[in-house]
Amino acid sequence: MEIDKIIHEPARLRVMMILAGLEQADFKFLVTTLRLTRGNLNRHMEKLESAGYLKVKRSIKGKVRNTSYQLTQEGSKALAQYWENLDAVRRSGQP
Amino acid sequence: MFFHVFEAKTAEKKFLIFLFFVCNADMSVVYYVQSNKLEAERSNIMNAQQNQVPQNTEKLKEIQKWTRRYAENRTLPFLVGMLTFLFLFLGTGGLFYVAGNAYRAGNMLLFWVCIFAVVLVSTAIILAARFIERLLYRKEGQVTLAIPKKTKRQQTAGRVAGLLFGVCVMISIILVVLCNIPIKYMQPVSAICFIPLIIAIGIWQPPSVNPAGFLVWLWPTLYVIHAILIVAGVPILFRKPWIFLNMLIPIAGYGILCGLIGHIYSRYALKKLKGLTHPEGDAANGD
Repeated sequence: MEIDKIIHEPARLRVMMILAGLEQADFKFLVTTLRLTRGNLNRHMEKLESAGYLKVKRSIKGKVRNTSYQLTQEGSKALAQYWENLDAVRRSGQP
Repeated sequence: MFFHVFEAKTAEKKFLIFLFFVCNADMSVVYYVQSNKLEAERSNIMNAQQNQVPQNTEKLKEIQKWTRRYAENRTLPFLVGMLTFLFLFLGTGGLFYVAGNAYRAGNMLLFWVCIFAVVLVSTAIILAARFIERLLYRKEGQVTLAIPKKTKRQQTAGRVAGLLFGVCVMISIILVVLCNIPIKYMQPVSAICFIPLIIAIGIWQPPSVNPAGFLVWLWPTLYVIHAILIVAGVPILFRKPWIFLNMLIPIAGYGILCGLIGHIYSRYALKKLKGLTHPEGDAANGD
């Protein structure tokens, strides 16, 4: 049973869980809610995006750039699978 | 070569300089070994963190729930909308009253001034509301709620509710226009339209599925309770010249009340969410 290393990282797991409850959230919301530095969050988002778990929408609102993130279908499936595997690991008492 | 650089002349000096370089090289080796050791330790810690099964899984699973509750109750735009309606009603109502009196008195200049002022006040209120709406949640960021796909039962309920709403609107118009219903029963008659709405919400968003959804129920429920109290003869009706409050309080008053409750709940949900998203402080900050 393989635990998805990309999702398993604490900050990325929290990002995925937040996005799972929403249609989309912008960078500002994630950075204030997770209390990560902008650079750190950016790195996590890039990893999730390159794994195909996130869809990024870039737009300009007024004069401000806005980046929104949305969980892809693949991301939702991976998250569900992650919890399934993790629960199985916990049940079996493996580290 | 090094001896030439330092222009060492005596054997003691040469020996000291030699010793200095030997010690320095030794320190470099120690530093190299230690940094490698540190790197290995850091890597081990990171691997352990990666392989660790989180102990607080139940709490982590709650993130999704509290994010949704927070997003559902971001009612500030609704509150701004309600206040805009209230200000438009109060701001333009008085001006229309003056304009009507001026028209009846034949004072056309005052009449046109009032009409111009109505347009000006309405535009200013709408622009101010848009500006305020743009400022809302600027610090918190923007979120959009996922609308779950409706089941066939929910789709049918939506269509039936829409049809019933139309029928109720027609009934209320017929009752007011044809049956000459007194003005004090205007609110109870309009409340008839809310009943299919409450039924539809009950099917779309039952409290068992989403306990925070009760706020969606609150406004129409309060409106219907208000209507029942009027029909029952409870003295809650306003008389002239405050008769307009009989409609304004159930619409704007209860609306603002529900919006405020929603806003307070969203603050609570955000606090809960922030507590769940960084319980380990900086531990979640590392990659």
